[in-house]
Amino acid sequence: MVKLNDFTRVSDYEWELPADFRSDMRVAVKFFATRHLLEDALGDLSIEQAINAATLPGVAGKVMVMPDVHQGYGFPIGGVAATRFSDGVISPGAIGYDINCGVRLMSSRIRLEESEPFLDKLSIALDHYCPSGVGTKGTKKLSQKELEDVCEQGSAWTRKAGAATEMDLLRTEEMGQLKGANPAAVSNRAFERAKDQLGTLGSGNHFIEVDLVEQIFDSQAAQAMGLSVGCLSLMIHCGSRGFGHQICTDYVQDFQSVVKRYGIHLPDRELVCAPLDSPEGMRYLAAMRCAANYAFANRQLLAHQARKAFEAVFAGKIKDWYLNQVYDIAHNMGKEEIHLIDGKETRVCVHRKGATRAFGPGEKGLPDAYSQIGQPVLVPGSMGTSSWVLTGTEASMERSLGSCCHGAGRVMSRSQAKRSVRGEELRRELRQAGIWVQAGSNAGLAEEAPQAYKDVDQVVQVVSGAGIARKVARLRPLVVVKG
Amino acid sequence: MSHTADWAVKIWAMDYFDLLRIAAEAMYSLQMVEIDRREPGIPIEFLVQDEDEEITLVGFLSELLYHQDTHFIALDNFIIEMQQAGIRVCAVGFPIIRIEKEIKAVTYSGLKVQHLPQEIEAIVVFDV
Repeated sequence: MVKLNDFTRVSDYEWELPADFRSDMRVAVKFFATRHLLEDALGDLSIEQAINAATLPGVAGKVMVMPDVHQGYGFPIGGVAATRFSDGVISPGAIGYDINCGVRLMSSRIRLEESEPFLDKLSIALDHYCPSGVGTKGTKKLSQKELEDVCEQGSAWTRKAGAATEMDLLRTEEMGQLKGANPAAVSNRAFERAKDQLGTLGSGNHFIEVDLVEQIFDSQAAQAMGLSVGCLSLMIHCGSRGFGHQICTDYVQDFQSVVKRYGIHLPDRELVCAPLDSPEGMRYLAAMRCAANYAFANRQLLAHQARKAFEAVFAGKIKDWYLNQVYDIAHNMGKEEIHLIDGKETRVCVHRKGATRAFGPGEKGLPDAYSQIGQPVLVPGSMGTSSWVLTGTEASMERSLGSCCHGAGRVMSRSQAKRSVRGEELRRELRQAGIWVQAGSNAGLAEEAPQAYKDVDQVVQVVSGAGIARKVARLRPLVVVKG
Repeated sequence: MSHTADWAVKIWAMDYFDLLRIAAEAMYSLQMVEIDRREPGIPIEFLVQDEDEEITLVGFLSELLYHQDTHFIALDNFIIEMQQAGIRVCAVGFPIIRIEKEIKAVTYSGLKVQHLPQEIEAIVVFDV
């Protein structure tokens, strides 16, 4: 059992467990946390899961753990592990069931005072235009050919369908399209789950939120992003729906026998994997990219629908109601990247699960608008609390595999949250705090209560204190549409 | 069972096939699935690869989730038997009227099937 004094304190915000802490570890584990957050993490299995991640064949550098860490399935949520393409593995469990679950932020010039009388109507309109909840379907059932096109093209498919602008694509991670997606690597089961879910929010902790830009910390970066104090913004948190879940389920099942075939021994069967250069590994990578592209298209369609909601409520009342793309990021993904590891440029698969890419200024792959400031990093708080906009830094490339936190991280189980919080009371409290809520059920609302999550301000303080991200803006919620 | 990430259940049964039935019931019960039994229901048949008991349990429950998510039906009246190719499951699918909270995947995290002196016990963690 891991104890606090097993860690080496590197700084106020960095702690390490050495590679020889456990005999099967191949690399050290680095934790970005305060002492208090680290003590929190010791309360569940997240530290042990991070240690298990350090046993993956071909793991390079160090396993990174973000301050919003909590226990996941095999691999901690808030974990980052890079494996070498030359001799490493790819693990579906280290990417997550909801492949390319991520966040999109959109900005506007709508001022709070002019929009306030219409926020209740806006909450209803968003709920209407952006289908959410259990069993909801999109407006269109896709054919097999259309689904395969979405898999290969991602956001580009939505542009051809008239639901995206050029700027939307430019300001999406990977332009909303991972190359190397192959629909032949995806099961019929997954396609069946996918065909009528595109353009839907889903359920669980997914949401659409209208926020007020409350405070700016970096005016140059905020200006580049189109964020202004006192104006509205929109945040979408959603992923690949049943499609990604089925792909992960299929491959975690398949890889149970693959690991035996390749003689790979793992401390947790949810970490099952295949060599990156094996047919099985390449198949999963190709399927994962299909799910990633589906999720990019999904968030793009939801953004398009949100624009319709804004138009329905504000057109004719507010001169400039349009929502502009700030950025769209993934926080469950496996990405092919080059990192300097042990002094050598190394081609790796960076597994980020509940962690966000946070490339610094000048890094390849950033849109021109952000090349000077670094990649936007979007950190939603729990319901009713602040969300943050950060940027990646040069230091993040060197110190955290170009990665950062993704949110607030759970501290309480769903059943515990439901026992502690009454959904209807929470709804009233949020309303009293000036927040309009549309939610499918009070029980679902209670599960997402703020007290079920860590303090996002503390999480952000860690990543900015550690130098792997820089604060740009803090947002305050006004409207929440919960899946 | 309390589980930070999502839902976990512990179930007990007299034999393995009964364990599968009870696991199905537990999964639907957690989601507070309401079904429409006014019509006879649709016969559903599938095969689950017979690997170890844990992998088979996940495969079985994943099949139920697939039907739930794709066709919005819940399966009951299970007849389960061992065949050469695997475990053959015959069931009846009933339309779902309502789901309170959706399970999205069955995980291998913390998965355990244990043969105790009087019964079989299993722990399954679900992703919501």
